[in-house]
Amino acid sequence: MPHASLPFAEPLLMLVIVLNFFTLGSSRLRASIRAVGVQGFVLGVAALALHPGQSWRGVAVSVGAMAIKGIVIPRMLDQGLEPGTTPRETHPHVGFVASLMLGAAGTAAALLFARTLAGDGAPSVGGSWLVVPAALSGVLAGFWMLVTRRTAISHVLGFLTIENGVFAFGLLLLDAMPELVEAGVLLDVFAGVFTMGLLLEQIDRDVAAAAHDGHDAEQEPLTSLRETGRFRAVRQTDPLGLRREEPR
Amino acid sequence: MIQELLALAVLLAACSGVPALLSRGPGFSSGRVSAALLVLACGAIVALAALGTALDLGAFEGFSAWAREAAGWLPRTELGLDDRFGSDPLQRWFLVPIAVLGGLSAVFGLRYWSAVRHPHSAGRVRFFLGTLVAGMLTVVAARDAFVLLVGWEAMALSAFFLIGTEDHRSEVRAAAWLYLAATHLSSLALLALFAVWHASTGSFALDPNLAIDLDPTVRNVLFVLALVGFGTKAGLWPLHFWLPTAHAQAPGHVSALLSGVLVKVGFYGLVRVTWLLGTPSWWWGAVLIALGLAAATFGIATALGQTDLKRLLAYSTVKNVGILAVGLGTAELARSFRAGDIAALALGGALLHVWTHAAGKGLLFFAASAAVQGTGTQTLDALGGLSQRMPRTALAFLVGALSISGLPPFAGFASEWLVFMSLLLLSTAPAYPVQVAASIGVAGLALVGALGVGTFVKAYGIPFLGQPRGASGAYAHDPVGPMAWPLGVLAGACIGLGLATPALSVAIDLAFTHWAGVAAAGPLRTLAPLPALAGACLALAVLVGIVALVLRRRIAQVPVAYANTWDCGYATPSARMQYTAASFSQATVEMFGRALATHHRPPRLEGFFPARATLVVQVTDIVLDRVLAPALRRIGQALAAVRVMQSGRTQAYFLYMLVLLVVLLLWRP
Repeated sequence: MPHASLPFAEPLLMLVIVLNFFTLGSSRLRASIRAVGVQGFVLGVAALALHPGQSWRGVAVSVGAMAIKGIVIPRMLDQGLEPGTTPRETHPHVGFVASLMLGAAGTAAALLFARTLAGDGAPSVGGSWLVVPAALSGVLAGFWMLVTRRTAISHVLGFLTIENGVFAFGLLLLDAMPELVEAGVLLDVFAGVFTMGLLLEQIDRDVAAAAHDGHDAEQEPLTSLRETGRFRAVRQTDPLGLRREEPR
Repeated sequence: MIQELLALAVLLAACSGVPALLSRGPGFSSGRVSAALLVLACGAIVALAALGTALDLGAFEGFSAWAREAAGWLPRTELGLDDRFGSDPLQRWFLVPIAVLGGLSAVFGLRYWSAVRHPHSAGRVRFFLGTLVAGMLTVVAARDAFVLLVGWEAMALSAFFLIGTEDHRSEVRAAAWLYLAATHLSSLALLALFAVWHASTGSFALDPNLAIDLDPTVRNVLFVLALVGFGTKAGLWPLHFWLPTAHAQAPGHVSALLSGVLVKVGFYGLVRVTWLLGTPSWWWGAVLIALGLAAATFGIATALGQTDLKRLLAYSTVKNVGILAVGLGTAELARSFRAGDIAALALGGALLHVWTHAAGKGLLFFAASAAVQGTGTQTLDALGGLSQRMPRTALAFLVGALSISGLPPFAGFASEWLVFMSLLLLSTAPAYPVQVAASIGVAGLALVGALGVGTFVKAYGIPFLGQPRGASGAYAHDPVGPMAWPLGVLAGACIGLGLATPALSVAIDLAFTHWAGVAAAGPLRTLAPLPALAGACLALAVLVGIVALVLRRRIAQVPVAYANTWDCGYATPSARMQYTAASFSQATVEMFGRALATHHRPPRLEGFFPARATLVVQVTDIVLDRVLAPALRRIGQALAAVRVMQSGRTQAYFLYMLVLLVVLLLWRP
């Protein structure tokens, strides 16, 4: 059912792309959390704007995305951080400026790719050709965060950015297969649970640890999800995990 | 109707371990509940198999009509069980030993692996025992490749967890990992097998009618894949490499189940695929006979050289799988030459051997486990004189050893004799190469039989006879209560199966007719003089019993003096001067020369008063230690460069994904 999108759909998608740059370039974790949250909320609005006058199902998907991506997950992440502090991403593997440059290159590539994807013209939803570039740029930016950032919470943010990109891609399919997009929202719920478990188990403790020995490069507090407890022995010395640890 | 009940029983078996798993602390009663549930499920399976056989034989004609009518009243399930689950004569034949040994294993494990002694693993062991039995039953009862594979994986994983029960010991972990690698190899081959099957027939149903129009190349591919997939699980040489360590390191009642029936499930797979593919190419049988003879010879020769009781029994299993393969191979070869009655003898022998070996090897592993638990060691050279402290266990082990060695009047004799007969008849076949092959087979089986007797003389003599070596057996005693029952039942089976062959041959006839598609020229009991054989066995048993009684009375009447046999001039011979396990088999092992990988480290004696020295003689596995392990080590070295990628850093793995994603985006085919 072809229909025109509302006039503010394209600016919304541009905002989504811009927010990718913000999270790529910012070291402040609280601001990044908020940016990813806003991005998710905007995507939910964009879903409505791109598909005006659709079924209650589509509306439910949009509203669900707004609620979960825009409000629930950011709030959970925010609460996991120690109150009153300004946690930052320090010493990323690739600097923020370089990341921004690469992000710009990636977005440009995404725009080019989206044009050539369908041959004669970019696939469009409701007349907007920005959907695919926004999706690809989100996926690339999120992956880049996963690759370069050291803290676990940045990894969650990178994961959520990828998720937002995938959701944007899902907007192409909202008419054709709403179930698939609903499944995407379910993935968000999973991410929420994942995040919450992470917060309860990991971040609280490691933020406290970070305050004490934050400069110890070997320790790398908040670094990764697996180097805790009994799995610590699997690190560098035994890359294949051939030597297993005796249970204590 | 039977299908539904069968499925219910399998489900019950699968869930039987849940009470034990859920109970906290040393809950003996929850273990009892689990064992009782498994025994109930297994009993139901046996009853259903018997009922199915009776119905096939035309018993209860009226009842059968009534049952069909009653089945019509039952609510129809939407599961379509008829296409997925079945109990044809072949399946029933394999269901029974799995159920019997599964139930006995649960009973034995109640005391043997009690929650008091093993508070951390008892629940787990009971749970996985149930799923293992259910998995094996599912594989056998499956009528559909999908169901078969589900059962296969359930069986493979349960066995993995059971083998790794004592995972705080590094050799147990090594055994479990080796088993896991082997079972992956086997699953991979089976996936390929059924993928090819589906691609060429368009269906996952295991229906021989679908195979009639298959291309010969496809049929050959299917056979080879089945040989790898099912042969690995069966422990068919040279794919047996996982078997000895797994059997030696698993808890005893699990070893009994692995050795007694799990490898038979692999053999069942081979039988099922040969049934599926119908008329074979001539070389299938030849390959099976060759592999079987190699397996039997290497298996028993390696067994003879072992110094670990459970490893010895495991290698004996390799030998017996070889005999099964020889039987199936002979049947296939005979079938390709349209010699139906030879095929009936050969397959009948193999099928009977499945039962007799399950009973004998189950008994041996139960008895050996009792001995190992009583003494705390399974090293043969640390055992000795156990028949004085564990007389009933020793008797049970003796019965099992005689049966496995194929000596009359025990059960193992009848089955090996049928395979022999079929090979002898095949050696009179018109084709010259077949004559040669069959003659080699007869000679090979004779050699294997003799070595088998030698192996079990050692397996019984070293631990049970003579004097105790060291103090390891000081507190050993016979198992009591439920741990003793399986020994009695299986010892009875080892004697009873040999006498019951004429009755069993009826079920074997059904299974053969189902397998070959046509009935043999006559029933098995007329093809081979089974009643006469059973009568001779009975007479022999009675005679042996009478002689034993007379001897006992004679001994009781005369005064008995104990003295050294010969002391070679030593004033004070000690128990350590007895024949050891290695010295007993040395001459025979040396005969095989380099065909057995013997690890020999002589003692270093220096000076006039040499210090304490050790001699190590081990017969290692030629396939695993001389071929596989070095090859894998070399592959590992060659792949060292790739390991750099495994940095253990999350970021690096995300980078790989990102690179792949970008490449995929840019890639234009």
